[in-house]
Amino acid sequence: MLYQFANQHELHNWKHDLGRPFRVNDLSICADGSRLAAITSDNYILIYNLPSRIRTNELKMDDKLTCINLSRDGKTVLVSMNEGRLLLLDAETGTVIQRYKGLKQSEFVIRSQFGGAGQNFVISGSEGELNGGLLGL
Amino acid sequence: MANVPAEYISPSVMIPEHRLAVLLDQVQDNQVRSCLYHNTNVTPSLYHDHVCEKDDFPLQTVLELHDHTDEVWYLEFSHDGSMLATTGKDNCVIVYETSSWKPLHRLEEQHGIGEVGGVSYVAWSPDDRYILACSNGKDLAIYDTRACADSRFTSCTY
Repeated sequence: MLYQFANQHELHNWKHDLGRPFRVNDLSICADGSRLAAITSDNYILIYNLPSRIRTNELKMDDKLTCINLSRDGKTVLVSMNEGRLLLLDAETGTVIQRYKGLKQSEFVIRSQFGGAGQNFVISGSEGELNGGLLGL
Repeated sequence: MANVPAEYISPSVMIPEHRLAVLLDQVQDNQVRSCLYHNTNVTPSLYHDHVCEKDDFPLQTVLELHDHTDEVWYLEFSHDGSMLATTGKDNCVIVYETSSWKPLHRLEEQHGIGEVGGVSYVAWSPDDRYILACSNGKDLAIYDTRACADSRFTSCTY
């Protein structure tokens, strides 16, 4: 649901967008507000063009998704999945650009983020360790 | 005259326009890509080989904050980096000042008996004036960090 902040008026609702009920677990908007990416509890990644409210991509993934982040320029999207998988996807085509290894996840929700000047690297939490793992871009 | 025919002439006969600039750009990109701890927006100069120091990369724990009384679920820095908002299972949003790491505000959600507790998400407005907090009780609260007053905004229930 999209609300107008000034008058608390509902601007848009994507409730009926997929033709079935769905639950959004996380979402991210890029810096210029042109793109919105969301993950659902039934393992889909949904990417929308925000100004037109139209869905541009619906990607079915093979495992539970825990976290999603769009890069500042909106071109790539970082997705955390169960079993310690971390993927970088192209936001337009949905192809996997890079996979990051080394993090552990089995019980808790692990979040990941772009980091550094110019979003040069990717950082993620990991189970069983005091510090999060740092993975280069 | 030079631009149009250049496309049809082999590079071995006439060097393409701006070829040196293209090559220098490739060298720069290559140096950035092979820099393991690259953490800068500044385009590296080609007067010397570019390398970012490991010490400039965040690898050590600097501080631990223990102000929450239960699990911490989400946190976000303000856009200007001067504040950090953290939320969690204890129904509290704590706003820290990043220069001293002291808690500036402590925003408690008011819940009726029987409602699901915990604040699961927090977000800063682009000008860092407002904080949006999502509680598990289907409430969306907006806090004004300057006035420290909160205006409640309840979402539709589904």
